[in-house]
Amino acid sequence: MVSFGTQPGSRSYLGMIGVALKMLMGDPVKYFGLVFGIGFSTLLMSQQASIFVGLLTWGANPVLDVRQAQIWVMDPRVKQPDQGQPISDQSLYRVRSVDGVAWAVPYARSAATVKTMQGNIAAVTLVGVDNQSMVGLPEENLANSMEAIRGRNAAILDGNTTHLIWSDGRDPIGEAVEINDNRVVVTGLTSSLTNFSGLPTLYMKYSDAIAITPPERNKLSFVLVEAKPGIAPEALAQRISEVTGLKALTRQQFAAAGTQFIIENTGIPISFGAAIGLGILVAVVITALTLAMFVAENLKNFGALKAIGVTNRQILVMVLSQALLVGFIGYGIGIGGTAAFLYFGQADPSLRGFKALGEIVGGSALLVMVIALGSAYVSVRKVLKLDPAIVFRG
Amino acid sequence: MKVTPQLLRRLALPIGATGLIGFAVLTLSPPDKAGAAPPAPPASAPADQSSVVAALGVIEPSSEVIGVGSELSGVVREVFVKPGDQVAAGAPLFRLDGRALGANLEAQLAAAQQARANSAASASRVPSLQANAANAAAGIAQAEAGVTTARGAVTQAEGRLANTQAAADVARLALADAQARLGLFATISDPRAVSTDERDRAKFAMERAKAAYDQARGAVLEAEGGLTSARGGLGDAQARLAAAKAASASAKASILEGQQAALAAQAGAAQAAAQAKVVSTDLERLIVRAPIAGQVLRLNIRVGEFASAGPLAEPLVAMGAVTPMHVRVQIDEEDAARVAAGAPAQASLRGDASKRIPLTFVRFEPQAMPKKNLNGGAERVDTRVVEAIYAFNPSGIQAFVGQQMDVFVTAKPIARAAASQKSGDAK
Repeated sequence: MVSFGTQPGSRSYLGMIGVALKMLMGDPVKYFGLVFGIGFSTLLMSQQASIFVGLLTWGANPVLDVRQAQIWVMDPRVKQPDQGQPISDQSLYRVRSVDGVAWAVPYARSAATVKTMQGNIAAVTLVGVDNQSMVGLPEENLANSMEAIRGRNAAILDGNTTHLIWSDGRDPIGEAVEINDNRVVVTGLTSSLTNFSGLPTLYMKYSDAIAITPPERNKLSFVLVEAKPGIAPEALAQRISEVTGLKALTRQQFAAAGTQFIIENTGIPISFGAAIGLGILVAVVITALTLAMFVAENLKNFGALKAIGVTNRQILVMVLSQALLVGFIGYGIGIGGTAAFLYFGQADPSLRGFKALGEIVGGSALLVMVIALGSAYVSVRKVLKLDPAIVFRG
Repeated sequence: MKVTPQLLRRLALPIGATGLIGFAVLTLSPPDKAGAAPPAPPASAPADQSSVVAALGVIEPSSEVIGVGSELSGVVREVFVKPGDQVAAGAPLFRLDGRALGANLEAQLAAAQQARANSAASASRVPSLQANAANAAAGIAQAEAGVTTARGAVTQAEGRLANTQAAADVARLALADAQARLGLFATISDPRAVSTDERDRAKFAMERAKAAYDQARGAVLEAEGGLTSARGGLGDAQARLAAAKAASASAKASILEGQQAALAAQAGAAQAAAQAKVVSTDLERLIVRAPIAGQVLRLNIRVGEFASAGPLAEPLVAMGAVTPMHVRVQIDEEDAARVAAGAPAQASLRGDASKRIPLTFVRFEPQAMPKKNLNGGAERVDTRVVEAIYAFNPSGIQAFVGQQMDVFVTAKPIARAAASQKSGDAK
């Protein structure tokens, strides 16, 4: 035991903290109650927030998947990447003719239905990438994809979603499928980011993709543009809009537009907001109630401590350190659970699109700390007002 | 502080939590990555050109593609060229079957020969016809002489008739006198008043006068018969003259006819000769020849196939002059104003954007055309393009007619166009 009073200062505080932590761990029920209460609510908050943010990014992922281009040019009415409003093929040349454009390539994106040899039907997102530059192919397995896509009506499939087309888990490479009465052979696998529609993405050469889609006046969905060195993409996008009359957005602007579209057009913000709010509520209620009970039960002990000369300030530090400890452990369990959920969930294709974001890890840490410390402060006020004489009265 | 099992138990949770937090931090998803390089170089504007007009270009021969057609239809018997061959102007490309025309030519040549013989025969008949005509003319003269003679005979007969009639008149008068005298004796009732002798003498005189008269009458009748016969002779002579004249006319007509026949035969001979020439020209036309010097780009005809005359969807032989090559550059009409005639340009072939091919300006096509989309198959007419023709030297470049190129034409800066559009929007 550390002697009190004789050596005030940091050492005495450390000693008090030691006492406080012994007190806490000496009551396993409340200790574990607090830890798991905070842990559960942290898990709820961070996991739901991750899924929420993940869902929102799904709207932006078709854009984020294309890492090679800075600017997307589209019909002025297009609000998000999966909205097909094709523009004239001639737009490609008009965009290329704008000063400051280093290169511009066509990019087709449309919905299609795949019929397998086994008789299944599946909806897919059909992407046509520029025959020459292959801009738009995901970076993963790129060298192989470039080789595999060159053949006539050859397609690269997103390897994470093959189960949506072949539920028997077969290797899709070499499988022939039928799209609009055309034979298409899957020649390679890649990995694309999950998109909001959840449909498998099938990559083909631009010429093949527009040849097998139904007749339409226009088929060019987007023109992907790179600015010349030294030219800001934002300024160039502005100039392309002015010259061609089309809508030109930078990669980030269009990704944000995809996210914004989901926020505006789905119930996701409300449902996930409610879940996250419930997580916060559970955390506040459990932490505050349990801490208050813990403090109330130990009121006599605190009184005794006060009676032997422990200052209010020291008691405050004691309770706060208890709160911080349970907060830390609870947070660790919760965030660890979320991290494990996301990390091991990657194996499951349907969970693959959710990301573990540093913002969520840090934000929930901050939130847990505020809740724990706030609850501790509220609980400890009774002790601070406590008359040490109570020990002797009881 | 001593490390006791109890302490370890107490520290288990915080250490575990630290580990979990560490795990969470370590498994953070990587941030969004941007700015990857294109997998393969895309067609890009030349870095040294600040302003360009980009356009689709299609390679074509400098002569444009010539779809060589056949003038005649028929089965191909021989093909003289292969795709890719360089041929001179007039070089044979393929030959159609010529047996029918060859036989026809022989028949025509025979017909020509026959017509020539006919013409000679017709011409030779004309002199004999002319001789006939001369004979007929001589017959006319003879007949005319006969007519004159007959007229003389008529005149003579008429004179004799007048003479005999005059003699008959005299005899009639003498007869009347003798009768009157005899009458006088008859009126005398007393036979004795007049001697029988006298009476008889008077009677004989009367009878003599009567005989003379009868004789005279006979002479008149004879003279009349002579006149009639002379007149008949004249009529005959005149009829002969008419016949001679008709014969002459007919002879003349047959000369004309003969001459016409000769001319017709001559014309027929000429026609037959011309006919034969037509067939031999057709025989020559069976061999289809290269209209210009150039390269055979495509051969859609093989030995034994039927080649139709007239325009075909797929020409029998496509050829063109490939040095230099031309590129038909389709410049959007909205960008056309930025391109000056003679502006330099660079192009890259599909599939190899890193290799830039310098182009030299040839001309603008004077007529703007609806853009034909070559990628999608179907023709779309939503925009019009001004076509500029550029040339490049194909040596050392594997470029094929019909290939597409990404062309970047050096152009005026776009700033002015943007400004004018802004003002247009403001209105």
